[in-house]
Amino acid sequence: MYRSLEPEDIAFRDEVRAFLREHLSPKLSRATHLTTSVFPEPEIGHAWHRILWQQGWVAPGWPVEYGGTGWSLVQRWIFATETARAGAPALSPMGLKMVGPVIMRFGSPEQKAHYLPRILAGDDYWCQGYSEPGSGSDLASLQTRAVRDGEHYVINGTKTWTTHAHHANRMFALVRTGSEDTPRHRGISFLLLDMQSPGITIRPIRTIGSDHEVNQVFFDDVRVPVAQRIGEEGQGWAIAKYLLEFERGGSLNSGGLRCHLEELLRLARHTPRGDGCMLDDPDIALAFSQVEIDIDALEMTELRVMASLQTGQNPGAVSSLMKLRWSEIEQAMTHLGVRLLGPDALVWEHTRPLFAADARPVLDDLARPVTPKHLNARAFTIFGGTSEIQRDIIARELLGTVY
Amino acid sequence: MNLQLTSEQQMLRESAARWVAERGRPAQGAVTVGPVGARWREMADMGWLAMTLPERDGGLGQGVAEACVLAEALGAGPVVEPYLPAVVLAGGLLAAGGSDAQRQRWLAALASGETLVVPATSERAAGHDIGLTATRAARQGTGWVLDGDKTAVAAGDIAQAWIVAARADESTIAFFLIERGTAGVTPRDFPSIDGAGACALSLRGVRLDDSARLPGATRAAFGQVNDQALLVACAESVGAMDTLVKATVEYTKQRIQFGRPLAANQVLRHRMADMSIATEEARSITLGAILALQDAEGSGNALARTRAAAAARAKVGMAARRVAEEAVQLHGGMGVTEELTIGVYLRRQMALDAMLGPAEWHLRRHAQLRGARDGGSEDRNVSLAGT
Ligand SMILES: Cc1cc2nc3c(=O)[nH]c(=O)nc-3n(C[C@H](O)[C@H](O)[C@H](O)COP(=O)(O)OP(=O)(O)OC[C@H]3O[C@@H](n4cnc5c(N)ncnc54)[C@H](O)[C@@H]3O)c2cc1C
Repeated sequence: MYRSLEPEDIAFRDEVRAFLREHLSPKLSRATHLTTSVFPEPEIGHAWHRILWQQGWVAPGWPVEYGGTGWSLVQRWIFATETARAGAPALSPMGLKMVGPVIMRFGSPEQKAHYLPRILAGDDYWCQGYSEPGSGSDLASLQTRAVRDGEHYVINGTKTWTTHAHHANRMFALVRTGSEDTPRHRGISFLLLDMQSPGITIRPIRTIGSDHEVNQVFFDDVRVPVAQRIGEEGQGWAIAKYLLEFERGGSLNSGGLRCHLEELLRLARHTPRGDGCMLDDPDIALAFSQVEIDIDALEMTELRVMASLQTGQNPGAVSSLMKLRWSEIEQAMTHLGVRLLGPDALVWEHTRPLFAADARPVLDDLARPVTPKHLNARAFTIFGGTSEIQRDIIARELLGTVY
Repeated sequence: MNLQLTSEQQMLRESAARWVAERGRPAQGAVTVGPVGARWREMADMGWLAMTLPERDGGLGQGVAEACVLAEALGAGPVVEPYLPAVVLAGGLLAAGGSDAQRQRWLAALASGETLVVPATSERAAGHDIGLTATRAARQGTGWVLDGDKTAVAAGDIAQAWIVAARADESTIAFFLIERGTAGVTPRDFPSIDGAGACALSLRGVRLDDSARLPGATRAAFGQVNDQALLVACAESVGAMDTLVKATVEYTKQRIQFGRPLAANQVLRHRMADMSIATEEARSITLGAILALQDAEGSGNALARTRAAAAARAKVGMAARRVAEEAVQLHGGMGVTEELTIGVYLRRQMALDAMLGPAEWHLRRHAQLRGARDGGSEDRNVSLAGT
C-alpha cells in the first residue's frame, strides 16, 4: 500500500498541467470562480467541454470503446484533481455522467451510435426530467403520462426543478406508461425527447440566491417517437435507479472541494483584521482545519471506492455516503465564507452571471461569489436525492428491513 | 419575579402582530423594496419609532423590553424596514450622546419617520470590532478632518445622515453625525441580502465642525446601545424562528410523499422538535438578557450587561441560522425557491449577522469577557471584545 506516484504518473500529471496552462484561459477560470452553482452556465461549461473533447479527454469515466480515455484510476484521479484545482469549469453531468452511461448500458445499437458521439462532442445539451411537483423524494409516484399512439407516445403532464431546461435541446425523462392497474414501479418508461418539440413550454424558477438554474417544464400533447425510448416499456424505474447511483457518487469531488477551500483560504489571507488578516484569528484557523480534515477523509474514501471499481461499473450504496459528505462539507465551507465576509455579507449582488461584463460589483472577485454560493449550496442537500433519503439508503444497507 | 408581559406590552405585541400580518409582507425575491415608504410611515404613526426615544426628545421613554416585543413581531414578517439601525442604534446613540442641538434636529424627525439616520461603524479590517476602527478623525483648528472607509451601512442608501465612528486618538473612538452631501463623503449604494438597501461610505478629507461630534457618545455609551441592538436582533430572530417552525410543521403535514405526510417520518418529527427546542431556548436567553440589561441600568454593571447580550446573540444567532436552514431543507426543492418565503427569513438572519456580527464572534466576546472586571484593570479584555 503506497500513494507515491510512479514516474509515468508524474509524467501524466505534468502533461495535464501543461495542457491546463495552455488551454485554461484566465477568463475561463475567473468565470468558474464566479460561478454560483455546481452547474456552470453553458458559455463556460460547454466551452470547456469542447476544449477537452478536442483533446480526447472529455469522458475519463467512459469505457474506451465508447470514447473514454483508458486511463488508470490514478490517472483519472490526477486529472480530476488537477483540473479542479486549476479552476477549470465543471462539465454538465446530464449527458456525460447521466444519460450517457444509461445509453451505454440499456440503449439499442442505433441509439448508441447516434447519441454517444454527440454527447462526447457536446453537440447535445441534456436536461433531466425526473421530478414533478407531486413527486420528489417519492419519484415512483410520478404522473406525467405517455400514451401510445401508433409509432409515437403522446405526453401530457409537467416536470419541475429541471436544471438548465432553458439551455437544453434534449431531455431524458421518466414517464408513466401502461394502464391504470400497472404496478407503479413497472409503469414507468425512460424516454429521450427533443426540447424543441411542439407542446413543450418552460417556466423559469428563481431560487433564493437569485440564480436561474431550474425550471418547470410543461408537456401538452407532446409527440415522441417510440424509437426514442430506452430499454423496454416499463423498465424505466430500473434504469432510473441505476442512473441515480451514478448521479450521486460516480465522480471524484474532493478536487473541487479543495479548490473551494483554497479560494476561501485566499479570501481569509486577503481580508485584513487589525494589523493582520482573518487567518491569524485562531477561531477561523480552527474552522479551516475542521473542513480540511473532512476533505482529507472524503478524498481517501473516494480513492478507496474508485480503487475497488472497474471503469464504468456502478458504485452502489456507498455513492450515498459520498454525495452526503460532499454536500455537507460544501455547506460547511460556504458558512465559513460568509463568516469571513463579516459585514460585507450584507452585500447582495443579484444579477447573473456574476462574471457578466456589465456587472458592477461592490466587492472584489474573492469576496463576490461567497454569499451567492452559500445560498445556492442550500440545494446541495436536496437535489440528487435529499440527505434524508441518502441516510435512509445507507441505513437500509446497514440494517436491512427490521420490521 | 414576574416574567409576564405587562398589559401595555401585551397590547403592543398584539397590534404589532396584526400590522405585520396585514402589512409586513416579506420582500419578495430579487425585488428590492425601497424600505422607507408607506410602511415606514405607518410604523411611525403606530408610535413605534418614537417608543424607545426619551420623553424629553419627544419619545415615549420605553425600554429595551418594549423594543424587543415589537422586534419579535417584526421578525415574523420579516419586516426589513430599518428599525434596528435607525431607531435602536442611531436613535439610541443620539439620545445617549447627542448634543442638545443634535437631539432637537434629528430625534423628533426620526420618531416621526420624516428622516433617517443610521450608524456607519463597520470597516473591512475591523469587522464589527469598534475597537479596531481605522477611520481617522484628525483635529483641525476647532474642527475635524475624517478619512477612512465604512462598509455595509444598513439603510445607508436612503439615510439623510450617518453616524460615523472614527479614531480621534490611540484610545478614543468618537462618533460624528455626517449629513448626506457633505464634501468628501461618497456613498456607494447596493442592495442588501435581506432585500432592502445599504451603502458603503468613502470619507476623504471630510471637514467637520466640532458640532458634528456626538459629545456624549463614548465607547461606553456605544457599548450600551449596541447591547440593546443585539437583543432587539435576538427578539427579531425569535419571531422569525417561530414563524419558520410553524410554516415547516404546516408544510410537512400537508405534503404527501410515499403515500403519507412528510410529518409522519420520525426523522423529520425529531428535526422539527429540535427546531422548536432551539426556538424556546432562544426565547429564554433573550428574555434573560433583557432582564440583565434592566438590572444593569440600576447597578451600572456594564460588563454583566455586555456579557449577557453577547451570550444571547451567540446562542440566538446560531439557532436562528440553523432553524432557517432546517426549514429550507424540510421544504425540499420548494424551500430554495422564491415562490415560498422561507429563503427570505434565511437571508434576513444573514443580514442581522452582517449588521451586528456573526454569532461565532459574539461567542468569542463572551469567552473573552469571562473573568474581566467591570471598569477595572482588565479593560483590555473589554476592548478586545469590541465594546
Ligand atoms: C437546485 C435543484 C436542482 C434540481 N435539478 C433537478 C433536475 O435537473 N432534474 C430533476 O428531475 N430533479 C431535479 N431536482 C429535484 C430534486 O431531485 C428534488 O428536489 C428532490 O428529490 C427532493 O424532492 P422534493 O423537492 O419534492 O422534496 P420532498 O420529497 O417533498 O422532501 C421534503 C423534505 O422531506 C424529506 N423527506 C421526504 N421523504 C422522506 C422520508 N421518507 N423520510 C425522511 N425524510 C423525507 C426530504 O428529505 C426533504 O427534507 C433539483 C432540485 C434542486 C433543488
